[in-house]
Amino acid sequence: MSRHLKHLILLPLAVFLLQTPATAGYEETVQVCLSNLDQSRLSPQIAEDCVRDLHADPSILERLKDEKPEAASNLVAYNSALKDYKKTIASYKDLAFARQYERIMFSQACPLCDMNLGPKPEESFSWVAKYLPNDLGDFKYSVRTWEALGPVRTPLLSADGRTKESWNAMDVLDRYQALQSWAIYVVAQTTPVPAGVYPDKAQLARLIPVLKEDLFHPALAAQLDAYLAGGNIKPVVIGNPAASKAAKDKISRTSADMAALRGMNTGAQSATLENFFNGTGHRPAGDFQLDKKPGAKKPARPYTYTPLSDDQITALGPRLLAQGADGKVTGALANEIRGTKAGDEILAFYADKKYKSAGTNKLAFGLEPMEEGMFGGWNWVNEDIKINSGLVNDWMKKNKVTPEMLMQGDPAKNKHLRGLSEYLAPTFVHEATHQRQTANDKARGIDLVKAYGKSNSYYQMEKETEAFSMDASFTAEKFAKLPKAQRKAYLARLDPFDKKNAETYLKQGVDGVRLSNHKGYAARESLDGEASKQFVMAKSTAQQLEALKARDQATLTEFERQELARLQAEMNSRYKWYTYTMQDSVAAEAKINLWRQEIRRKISGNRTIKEGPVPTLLSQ
Amino acid sequence: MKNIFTAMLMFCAAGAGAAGPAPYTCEGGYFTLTIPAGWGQMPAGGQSAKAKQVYGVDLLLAGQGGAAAPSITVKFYASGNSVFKTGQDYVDSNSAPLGDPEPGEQYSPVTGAAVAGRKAYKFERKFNGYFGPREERKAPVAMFERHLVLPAKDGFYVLLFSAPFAQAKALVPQFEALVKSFKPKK
Repeated sequence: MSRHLKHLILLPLAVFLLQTPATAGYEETVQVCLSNLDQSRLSPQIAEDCVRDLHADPSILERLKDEKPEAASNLVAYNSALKDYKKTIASYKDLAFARQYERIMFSQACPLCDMNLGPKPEESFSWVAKYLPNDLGDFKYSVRTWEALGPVRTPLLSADGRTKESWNAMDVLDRYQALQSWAIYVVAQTTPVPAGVYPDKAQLARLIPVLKEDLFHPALAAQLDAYLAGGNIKPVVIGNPAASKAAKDKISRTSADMAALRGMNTGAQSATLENFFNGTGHRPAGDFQLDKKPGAKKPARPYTYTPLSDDQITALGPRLLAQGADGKVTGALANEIRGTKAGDEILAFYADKKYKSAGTNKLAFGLEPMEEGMFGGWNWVNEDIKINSGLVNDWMKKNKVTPEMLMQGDPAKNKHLRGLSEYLAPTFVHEATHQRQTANDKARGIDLVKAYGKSNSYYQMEKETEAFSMDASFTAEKFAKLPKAQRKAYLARLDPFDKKNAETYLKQGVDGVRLSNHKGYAARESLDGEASKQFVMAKSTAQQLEALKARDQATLTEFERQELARLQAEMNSRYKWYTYTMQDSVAAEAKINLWRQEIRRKISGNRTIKEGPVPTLLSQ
Repeated sequence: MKNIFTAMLMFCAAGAGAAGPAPYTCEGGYFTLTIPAGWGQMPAGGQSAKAKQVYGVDLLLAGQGGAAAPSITVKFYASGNSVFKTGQDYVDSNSAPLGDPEPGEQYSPVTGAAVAGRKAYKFERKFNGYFGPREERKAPVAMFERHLVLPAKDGFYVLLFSAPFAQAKALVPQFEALVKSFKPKK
């Protein structure tokens, strides 16, 4: 991407204004939206208005794309990026914001970087101060900039050799991890001394709340509370001048949140830290060691939960699923999905030669530590499917399985891998459906980076409807194929969400899945009338085109012939992502509802549904 | 030549933004009703109503916060539709849980009710819903649903109210008002 944005935009703008015959709405909109990209402006409100105006009148972009294609792309991409950045800053705080920030700044393309608003958050400070002054404090704290760290952390970190320059040189998530490492060290140094005899109790009172915040470990936080209480010391929370109280109150700090950030294994960490509280640890002599200490003998128990180690996390992915040189996918997870309509389609996708030559059906599957709230998924930038290793840990705990049981012997014969595959399969079907959607978009030459409104648009939600319907259909079909006596137990072994998704699909069809998706979205946003209208318009185009093409062409009137040509051209236009998404969603719904009919027949045992003219319940 | 189908589609979508109470006529003319103030139409997706032989609308009460927006669904399932064979089929499928119900989930018996002066089925359920992106783990949300199923000539109607349980009691009068305004043509 060009860094000389100012020149790129203003020169064509000047030429354009001199040349083009005036069309009031077009000229004005383009001028306002392009001049907003001047480094001295970058107004997110104007950006939001621009995106809305472009939605309302698709002809503007249609015309600009022909006259000035690069200006058209930039207009959309950069105004969209500003709008989304403002929304993200207003919607997220703390670690949740840091995660969003990482996604925004470190994907394949970084429009905000081109506008000198990143990748370092400090580059955005004056912009945020100008346009989002009420969010500035929270923003600075959420990105853990040096000046926002507060009077408790800063002297201690400085004593450790940190400086503002070295600190702010780190990426945001690295700052969170650095604070966690620091907090671990300080806990190890401090807590072996009982609070009651601690030399500087006032300092301790201020320190403990900060450590709790940085540790992301609720169990340890509780123990730190107890530690202070043991010395009759009341904690003193130094109001961070940067952060709002409301933000801090709402923050959930789980150990898995933090461990997920840079591949730290939650279990190993927690086991070690707890040693300092149960008496089996001791103050480290020099550098803090994260090794397991030889602790007191644990009482013998039939099952001891152990989380996956880092090596096991890496090794488990290929044991579940692997792709051969011929493209075919094998392993316990492949076996689990084979023999169902949805599963067989996914396997066929990975084995398909056409996608293989485009390089779009490569299987990059694995496990990774993530925040506790994540399942994981298909990442179209990294082109991989990653599942949260925390899910596996939870599954092992629930089913009393150890890592060794998963890792031993021939994967093809390992019944625990089979069990785990059963649990992970709906997620895999869903995410593989997204990979297939990406592959289809690429095959049609659709530039995903420039497809504006992607993450939030109703078009993206139709892609979700297909993916959810595929995984629901998979689960429902597995359920239906089982002997009656085994069905309930199968559902009980799944994640409750997967069970519910299959239930919605069986009870209400693909429409039910669609509505469920929209409920989640609409709960947070107001329905955008403009997006809605455009959604309907694009669908209308696809349907009208289908209807005309289906006709005997010899019977078309001249007007209809022109309509067909016009609709076809519109389909081929910049909005092809929308129209293809709608076309695909039509085909997907028809197919997946047909699967549902067959599945329901299996479940009901091929009973004929009794049809009565009068509802028998109302005969009383 | 104006494509009647397209015109109906645009007409149905005309009330897409949330506003005051609005009259609604379903594509194909299968029913009319009044959309209560504040409820907006969910954008249609997937197959056309004609292809599915399912006609009607999903309404959402958006921007309320929480995990799930309340919804009202009113549909006419024409004979031969791709989703349910009959109204009885719909009732059988929706009035019982799949597998064992989760703790706290409840299904009412199926009873009679009057809709547009005619005899209909009615049942309710309390159940756990999960809302949000696939990529995130979700906490269950206690949900309430009331289903009204009205047999008709060449098909059947469904009027379905769905909301988080905590909000349901306050919102159900709006559903009842919509049901009162509902006029089936079949």
